[in-house]
Amino acid sequence: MRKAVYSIGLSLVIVAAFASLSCVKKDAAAGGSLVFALTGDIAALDPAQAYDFTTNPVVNSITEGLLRFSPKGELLPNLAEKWASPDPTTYVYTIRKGVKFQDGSPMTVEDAIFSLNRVRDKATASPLAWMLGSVKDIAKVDDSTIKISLSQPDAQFRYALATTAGHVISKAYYEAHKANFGKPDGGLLGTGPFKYVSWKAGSEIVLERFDGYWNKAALPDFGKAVFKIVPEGATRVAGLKTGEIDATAPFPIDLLPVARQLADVELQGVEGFSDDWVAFNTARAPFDDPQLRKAVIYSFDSKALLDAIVKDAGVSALNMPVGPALWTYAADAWKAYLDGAEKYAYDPAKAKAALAASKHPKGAKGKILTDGDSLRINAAQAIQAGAKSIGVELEIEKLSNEELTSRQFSGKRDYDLILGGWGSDYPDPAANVQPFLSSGLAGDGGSNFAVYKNKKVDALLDQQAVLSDDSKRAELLIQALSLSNADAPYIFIDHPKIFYASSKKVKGYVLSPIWYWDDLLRGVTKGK
Amino acid sequence: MRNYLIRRLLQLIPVLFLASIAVFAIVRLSPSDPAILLAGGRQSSPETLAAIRVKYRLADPLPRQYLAWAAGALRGDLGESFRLKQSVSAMIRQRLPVTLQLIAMSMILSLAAAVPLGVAAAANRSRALDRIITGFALVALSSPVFLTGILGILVFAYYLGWLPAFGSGSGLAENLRYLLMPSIALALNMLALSLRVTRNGMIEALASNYVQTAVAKGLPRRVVLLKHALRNALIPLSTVTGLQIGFLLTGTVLVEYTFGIGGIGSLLVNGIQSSDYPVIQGATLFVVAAFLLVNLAVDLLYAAIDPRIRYS
Amino acid sequence: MSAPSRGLAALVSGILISAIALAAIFAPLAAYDPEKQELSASLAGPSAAHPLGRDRLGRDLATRLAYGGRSTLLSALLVVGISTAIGTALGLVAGYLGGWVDSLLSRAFDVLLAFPALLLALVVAAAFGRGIGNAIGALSVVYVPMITRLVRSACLVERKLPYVEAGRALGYSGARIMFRHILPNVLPLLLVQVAIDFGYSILDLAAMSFLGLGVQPPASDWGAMLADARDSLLVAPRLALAPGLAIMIVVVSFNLLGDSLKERLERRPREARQES
Repeated sequence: MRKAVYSIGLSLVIVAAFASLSCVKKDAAAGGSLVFALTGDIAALDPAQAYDFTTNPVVNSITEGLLRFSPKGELLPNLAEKWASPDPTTYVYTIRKGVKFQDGSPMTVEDAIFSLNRVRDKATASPLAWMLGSVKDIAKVDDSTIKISLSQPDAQFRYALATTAGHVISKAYYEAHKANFGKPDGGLLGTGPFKYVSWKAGSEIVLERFDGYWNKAALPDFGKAVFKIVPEGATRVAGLKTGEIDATAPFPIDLLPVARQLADVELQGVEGFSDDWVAFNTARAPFDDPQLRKAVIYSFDSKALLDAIVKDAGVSALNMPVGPALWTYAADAWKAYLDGAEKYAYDPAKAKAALAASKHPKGAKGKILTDGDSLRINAAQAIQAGAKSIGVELEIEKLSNEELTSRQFSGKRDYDLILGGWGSDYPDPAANVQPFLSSGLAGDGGSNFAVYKNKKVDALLDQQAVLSDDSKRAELLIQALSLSNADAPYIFIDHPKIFYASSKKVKGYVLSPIWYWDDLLRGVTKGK
Repeated sequence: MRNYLIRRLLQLIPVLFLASIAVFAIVRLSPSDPAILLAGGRQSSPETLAAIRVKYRLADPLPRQYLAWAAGALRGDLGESFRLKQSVSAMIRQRLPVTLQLIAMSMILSLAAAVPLGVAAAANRSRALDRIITGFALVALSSPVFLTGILGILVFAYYLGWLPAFGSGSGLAENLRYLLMPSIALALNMLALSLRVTRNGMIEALASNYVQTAVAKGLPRRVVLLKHALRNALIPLSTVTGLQIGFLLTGTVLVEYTFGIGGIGSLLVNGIQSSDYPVIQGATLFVVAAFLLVNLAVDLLYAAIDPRIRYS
Repeated sequence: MSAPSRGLAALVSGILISAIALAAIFAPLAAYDPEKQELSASLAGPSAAHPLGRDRLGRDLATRLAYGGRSTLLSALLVVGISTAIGTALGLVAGYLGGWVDSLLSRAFDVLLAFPALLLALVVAAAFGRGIGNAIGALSVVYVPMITRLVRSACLVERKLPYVEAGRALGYSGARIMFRHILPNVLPLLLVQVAIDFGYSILDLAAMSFLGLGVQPPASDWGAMLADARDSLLVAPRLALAPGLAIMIVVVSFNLLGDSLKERLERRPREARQES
C-alpha cells in the first residue's frame, strides 16, 4: 500500500517537473555550460567570507587554496606544490611556479601572504579567522617559500590551508577594488579554473572558464558555469529530471526516493562528518543533574525514530559524536571504544530508575529549542513524548534555522535543551570531540552547547591538541569521550548522509564529507 | 486641495519617524544575535564576534546606531544587508517588480471576476444564481491564501501539471505563468468585497429614477445594466479597490512565502528569520511608507471621483 | 440575500459553529491521545479505527483535528476578548473625554495602523519569541484600533444625546456614564464586529501558525497542522486538506453569523427611531 502511494507521489513530482520547467528558457549556450543549483544566494564573492553551503561552491571555482583535500580527506598539494613541518610550530610551504590569476598576472608569494593575513585581520571580520588562530607570524623566505610560525603546537592547523581560509586572492586586484570587493560589481580575482562574470542577486551567478588555468588536466570541458538559486527542493528535482539542472548539492533527504527513480540522474551519497544532537544545558537546573539527563536519554526511542523518518539517509550515532566516516586515524581504537561504550539505548525501566535516583524523582520541566528540519522537529517530538512518559515535561520551541543557529552559539546559553546539527570542518575526529566538550568553548560563539565543564576532560583535550602523534591523540580523545559519556551531557542521534545529485552526463566529481571545501567543477566533464 | 495634500504629507513624517523607531527597537529585542550569523553560523571566538560587532556597528550605543541608520535613510540609503552584503535599497528595487506584478495581477483577476459576477447577481437578485454567487464570494473570502495556495499547487501543478509549483520566472511572459496561481489565491480573498460592492451598487442604481426612466424608455436590458447602472456602481468599487491595495501588501507576504516567490514579502520574512536588521528596518519602512501613500492616494481619488467630497 | 435565506444562513452557521465547538469541547473524549506517537504507523492511511489516518509520527489525525480546533477556537476567543475589552475601554475614553486624550490615542493608532497587521504581528513574535501566547498578544494589539475607532465614533454620537446630558446633570461620574449608559447602547454594534473579527482572527492565527510563529509542537492548531503537512503533501494530501477545510468552514460560519447580525441590526435602529 505504501509503495503504491509512493509511486503516485513520484509521478506527481514528475508532472511537477515538467510544469516547472516547461517554461524555463533553454540556455543559449546549453552545450557549453554546466548549471549547478544552489539552495540559496551566496554571501559574498570572497573566500574570507565563504563558510556556507552556497557561497563555497561558487568561490571554490574562482579561487584556490594552498592545499586541498582528497575525497577521503587526505591533504594534497594545490597552489603549494609541497609543504613540510620541520618542528611542531613551523610550517613551510613551497608556492607553485607559473600560476596565473585570471587577468594574466602571475601569482606570487606576496599574494599568498596577503590573503592569509587578510583572513587573520580583525577588520576583515572573517568567520574563518579561528582556523588561523594559532598563527603567530607569516614570513616570506624567498620568492617561492613562505614560513608560518605558530604560537604553540596545533594538531589541526595543517588542515586550515585546504579550506577557504587558505585561498589566494590577487593583492593588486583587492587593492584596486577595495570599496566593492566581493560584491556583484566588484567581483573577485583568483587562480581557479573559472573567472567571475556576473552575479544577479537572488537569481544566478555566471562564471566563465579560464583557459590559462595552470592545471590543464583539471580543466573542465564546458566553457561556462551557471550557479542558479533554486530554494525549493521539488523544483531542483524537476530541473534534474528535465536536464535544466546538471548538478546540485546538498540534496534534501525527503526527496531522495523521488530522485532515485529518475533514469538520467545519478546520486552520490556519503556518510558525513556531522551529527544531529541534543545538548542538555548542564549549567542550570534541572538538567545540571546527570541522572535526570540519563533518564531522558533512556526514555527516547531513537531507533524507532530513525527507522520512520531517516531510513537509509543516515546512520544511528549510537550516542557517539565521532562516526565511522570520521575515523581518519586510529580506526581500530575508535571502533573498540564504540563497541564497549554505554549507548543509553531506549530502556523505559532504566529511565524510571535514573529518574528515581535523580534530584527530581517526581519529574521536571524544561524547554527544548530546535528548528523545522524534518528530522529535528520530529526528533524533538519523539524526545518530548519519551520524556513525558516518565514525567519530565519538555516544551518545544520551533525556531527558524537562523534563529536556532544564533541561539546555539550565543554565550547567553538561554535554553534547557537544544537540538541542532554540527559537522566537523576537518577530517579529524578531534573536531567532533573538542568543540562539544572543551569548557573554553562554552562562551560567546562557542560550540560547547551543553556548557559541559570537566577539568579532567579539558586537560586531555588540551594535551592532544598540541601533539603530532595521531594515535596518541586518539587515545587521549577517547579517554575524554569516555569520561564525558558517563556524565551524559549530549544525546548524539544520527550521522546524516550528504547527497550530491547530477545528470549522468556529468562526470569527474567524487563527493567528500567536507564537499564544501572542494572545487565541485574541478576536472568535471559534461561531454557533448 | 494642494494645501490639504501638503498637510497630509507632513502628517506622514511623524508617523514614519515613530514607526522607524518602533521597528528599530523591536528587532533588537529579539534573542537572536546577528553577529553569530555574520560569523557564518558556525563556531567562532569571542574575539571574532567582537570584531564583527565593531565592523557592523552593532557595538555602538543604540541611539547612535539609530541616528546613523536614519541619516542614511533620509538620503535614500537604507544600509547594507548583513547576510547578502548588498544595499537594501537595491534589494528592494530588484524585488519590487515581482511584488507589484503579483498585486496588479490579483487586482485584475479579482475585478475581472467580481464585476461580471456582481452584475449577474444584481440582475438576478434573490434568485438562485444570486445565492450561488454570494455564497461563492463568502467561501472565497473565508479561505486562507495559504490553503488555496497549497490546494492550487496540489491540483494545478502536481495533478494536472498546468502551472509551475513554485518560484517566479524571468521575463514578463514567464512571470505571468509563474504568478498566475499565487494571484488567483490572493484574488479569491479580495473578490468578495468587490463583488458585494458591485452587487449593492447595481441594486441601488437599478432602483434609482434614472434607470427606471431608461427602462421605461424601452432601452434593451443589457444596455440599461451595463451602460447606466454599472457606471454608477463603479464609483464605490474604485474606492474599495484602492483600499484593497493595502490589504494586498500584507497578503503578498503569505503568498510569496507559500509559493517561494522572491518579492518584498519574502525579503521581509527572510530578514526577520535571519535577524538581518538593515533588511527588516529598510523593507518595513518601505512597506509602511507605501501603505500610507496608497491610503492617501485613495483619499484623493475618492475626492476626485465623488464631487460631494472636498478637501481643504 | 432574501429574508428566508438570511434566516437559513444564520441557522446553518449556528449549527456549524455549535458542532465544531462541541467537537472541540469534547475532544478529550476521543479514543486517542493527540500526542501519542506510533512511529511504526507513520503516515498510515485511513482505516476504520483511524478514519482520517495517521500523521508522520503515527498520531491519529482525527483526534489531532479536534484538539487543534480546541486550540484554534480558544485562541481566537482570547484575541477577540482581549482586543474588544481594551479597544472598547479606549474607545469610550477617547470618545467621551475627547481633547488631548483623544488626539494622543489617535496618533498612537496612526502609527499602529501604518503597519500591515500581519507584518506587525510577525515582527513582534520574532522579538518576543514564538508560542501561542505571544501570537495571541500580538494579534490582540493589532485588533485594538479597529474596535477603538468603532466605539469612539459611536460614543461621539451618544455623547450628545439627551440621556447622557441628563446623567451628567445628575452628577454621575464619567466612568459610570461611559460604562453604564453609553456602553449598553454601543453594544449591538460591537457584537457584529466581534463576530466578524472572530472569523478574521482564526485566519490570522492560522497564518501565524503557518509561518511557525503560533502554537508549538507537539500541541497543534489547524494552521500548524497545515504547515507541517507541506512536507508530506505528495504522499498524504489529507494531512493538509483536513485542517484546511476545518478553517474554511469555521470562518464561513462566522462570516455568515456576522452578516445576519448586521442585517438584523441595520433594521432595528430604524424601527427604534420610529417608536420614539
